[in-house]
Formats: sequence, C-alpha cells, structure tokens
Amino acid sequence: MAPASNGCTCSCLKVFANPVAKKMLMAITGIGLVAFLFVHLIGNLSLYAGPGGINAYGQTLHSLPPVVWAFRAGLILLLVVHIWLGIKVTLENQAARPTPYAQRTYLKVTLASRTMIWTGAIIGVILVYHILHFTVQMICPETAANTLKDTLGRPDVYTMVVSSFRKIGISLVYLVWMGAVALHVSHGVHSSLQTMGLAGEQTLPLWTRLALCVAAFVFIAYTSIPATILAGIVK
Amino acid sequence: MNLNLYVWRQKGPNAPGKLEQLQAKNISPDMSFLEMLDEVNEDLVRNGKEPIAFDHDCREGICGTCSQVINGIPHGPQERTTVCQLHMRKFKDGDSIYIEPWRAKAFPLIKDLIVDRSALDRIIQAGGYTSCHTGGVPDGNAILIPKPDADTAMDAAECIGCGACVAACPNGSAMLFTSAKVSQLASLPQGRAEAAQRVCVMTEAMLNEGFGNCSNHYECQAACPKGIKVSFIAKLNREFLKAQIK
Ligand code: HEM
Ligand code: FES
Repeated sequence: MAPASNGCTCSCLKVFANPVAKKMLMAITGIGLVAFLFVHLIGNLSLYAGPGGINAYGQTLHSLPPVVWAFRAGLILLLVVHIWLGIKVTLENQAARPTPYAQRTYLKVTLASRTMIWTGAIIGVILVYHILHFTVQMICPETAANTLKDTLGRPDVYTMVVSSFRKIGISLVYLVWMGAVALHVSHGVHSSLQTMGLAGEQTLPLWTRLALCVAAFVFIAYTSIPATILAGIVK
Repeated sequence: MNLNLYVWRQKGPNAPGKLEQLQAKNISPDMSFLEMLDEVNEDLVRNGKEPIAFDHDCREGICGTCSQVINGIPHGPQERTTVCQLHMRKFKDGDSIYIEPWRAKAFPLIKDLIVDRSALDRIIQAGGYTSCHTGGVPDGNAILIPKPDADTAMDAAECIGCGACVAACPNGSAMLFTSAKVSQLASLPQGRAEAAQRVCVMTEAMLNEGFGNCSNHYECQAACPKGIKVSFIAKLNREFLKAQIK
C-alpha cells in the first residue's frame, strides 16, 4: 500500500489538514470549552451566597494572578484553535457543494447542527461584550467593581452584577448569549463524542440525550442569575 | 397515473442547466421509478426530443449505479431502497416530482442526471484494499475470524458505493462511504495489518477529492439504501486515533 503521502504519523503540521484530525481538534477544544462552562458556573453561583460569597470568590481569584493568567491563556488557546478550525471547516463544507439542490428534504439535521457557525459567531461576539462588561468593566462604569468596594474593602462584584442585570437590555443580551451556547452545545456534546470515536449504535442515542441535558442545564443554571435578579429575588 | 416532473436538464459539464417540466402520462403504479423515466424518454424520443440521460445498470438494487435525488432525498422517499427498486405506488396520481443529480464538487456533472463518481474509486484506490500476494485459493477456515467481527465486516461490506451519502450530506462529505471500507477491512485479520496506514491515506484522499468534512448531521445514514450506520464513522475515527499513537 502506498505510504500516507501527507504522512499521518510523520509531519505534525500536515496532519492538521486531515479532515478527521481537524474535527478531532474541534471536538477536544469544544469539550475543553464545555468543561470551562462548568468551572465558570461554580463561580457564578456563589452569587447566591450573597455579597460575601461572590466578593470573596473574586478576591481569592485575583489574589492568585498566575492561576488567572493560566486560565486565560488556556482559554485563549482553546478559542483560537476552535474558532479558526470552525471557520475553516465551514468554508470547506460549503465549497464541497457548489450547486445547491432546488428541492431539499432533510431527514436528520437539527436546527442546532445546521447553525453551528452562526451560534458560534453569536457566542464569539457576545463574549467580547461580556469581557468589556465584567473584565474591563466599561459597559456600566458607575458600578465597576474595580472602583466600587464593599464594607470589607473588596471589589464589590455583587453590586456590579446585580445592578447590571437589573437593566433589562443587558439581561436580554445574556439570554441570547446563553440561548446560542445551549444550541451550540446541544449538537456539540454528542458530535464531539462521535468525532472522538466514543460512540456506537447503543451509545449514540444516549449521547444525543446527554447533549440535550447538558444544554438545558447550562442554559437554566446561567440564566437563573439574571432571571432571579430581574424577578427581585436576588437584590 | 399522471405525474408532473421537474427534471434537471444539462447538455454537458459546462453547459447551463435548469429544471425542465415534463409530464409522465399513463404510468402504472407497478412500474419502477426508472421504468417510469423510460416511458417519459420514449415519449420524448417519439416527439423528436432529447431523452433524459440517467445512470442505471442492474435495476435490482445491488450495483449502486442509479443515482437521483427525488424530492430532495437521494434515492427518493422509501427507506433503504435504491431508485431502481422504488415503485410508482409510493406516489399519488397528480404528484409533482423533483428529480436532480447528486450534487457535490467531487462529483462533476456529465449530463442531465449523470455525474462522475470516480472520486469514490480513487478513495478506494488510495487504500481500500489489502496488499496480499495472489496465488492459490487459501484454505477456507485457515484464518479463524470471530463471528461478531465477521458480522461487522459483512454489514460494512454492504456498501454499494452509490454515493447517496455524499449527495445527502449537507457538507458533501464521503465519510460514510470511506468508513464502511475502513471498518470492513479493519474488522478482519487480513485487513488489520494495514489498518493504520489505510485510514490515513483514505481520509487524505477524501480531502484531495474535494469532499467536505463530517459535521455529524447523520443525513447519510438516513439516505443510505443499504442501511450503513454512522457507527462505522465512529469506528473510522477510532482507527484514525489508533493510527496516530501507533
Ligand atoms: C466564537 C466561538 C465559536 C465558534 C465560531 C464555534 C464554531 C463551531 C463550529 C462551526 C462547529 C461545527 C464544526 C462542524 O462542522 O462539525 C463547532 C463545534 C463545536 N463547538 Fe464550537 N464554536 C465556538 C464556541 C464554542 C464554545 C464556547 C463551546 C463550548 C461551550 C463550543 C463547543 C463546541 C463543540 C463541543 C463542538 C463539536 C465538535 C465536533 O463536532 O466534533 N464552541 N463550533
Ligand atoms: S441500477 Fe443497480 S442499484 Fe439501481
């Protein structure tokens, strides 16, 4: 048999052109991002412990700059690889069908599977907004935790979050964001398991349900914060 | 029954094409879809017009030559059925039927409904075989193969290479086709020896032929007339991983 011309096992760079390798990198980075969603959520939910909870969390985190920067570097790497390949794969896929069908009946695709690039784009754009909002803190400067301190002199993250989400517009942006994340993940979780070869005839239907559960959980857990703030439950 | 057809007509690879409206009259529900087209073609020839060019060969659902997207589904609406085995009783009198060729960059159109599918052959040529010495016929049970492995290989070997998976895939990907051959050979001791190399060269050939990537939409499995499962795609992915750590 002819040896692999691009050399699956020899040239490190060229292996990334392989259609399966590309999808595996997307799957690994995607699952890494899903894992981050869960870690990030633990921090968010400390809001329910009141100002003491989330302000302490914020202060602890920022007293450990190496940890914060390691997380940021990891995330940037995951996002860059995932977004780059997401765009590349989508362009290649569109090029593979230059003439569309006049009549097309889909049997299996889902809204989520057909809109990965668009939900991805929404995630990316609102991610920038989110960083400007809570990291750079220039969306609501009057309640920026960098300047506003609580009674213990800690950055008042609690007030920053609660006063922001009282503004319906800001809450809506985050609702759209989490909707996009939920759709993206509802395909991404089972797709990545299949891509990594971790699915079979029996397990694939289970992974499809698992993906829906993960998506629903992430959506409900994250949006519960603006929802409870708007409802006046968290003040 | 009478039917209202919209058929893709295109004189040659670079000629402009369009959907042409044609009438199929006095069609028996017992005819196959191809026999219905034969009737329409007879009519066209009688009227001095160019008949519809379409691919067909065995007409018994085993060769994979027939290839038409009927009302937006490769091989039409009946599950696990090739166009030649699809019967007109699946349709109703007065129905409108859209008939289009397989659409993919890797399948250049030749004429009307006929496309060139040799890209699939080139994927097989890249590695869809075992490099064994020929000679005398080997002894039947000289190499013992566990029954489950033989079953997996046989299920994968059902692929008739028609290309419906590519036609159905929103990305024009040939993953289901390629995974069937990779899985078939990787399941058998004779094919195991070259499994790592095979999965690499065949997926590479897929890329070079201009097929898209797999997004796990699973349209391919739904369109496959032989019921090839996407679990073979997962198996191809496992084989690819194994090849990297070998
Ligand atoms: C700007 C941000 C993003 C863009 C542009 C993007 C784009 C994409 C695209 C286009 C795909 C589909 C690839 C295909 O055709 O199969 C995909 C898959 C995926 N994405 Fe994203 N994405 C983004 C952010 C995220 C985030 C934040 C997560 C996690 C929460 C994520 C998780 C996944 C997963 C798990 C997959 C499945 C990989 C696979 O099918 O093997 N993505 N992404
Ligand atoms: S003509 Fe052979 S499968 Fe249809």
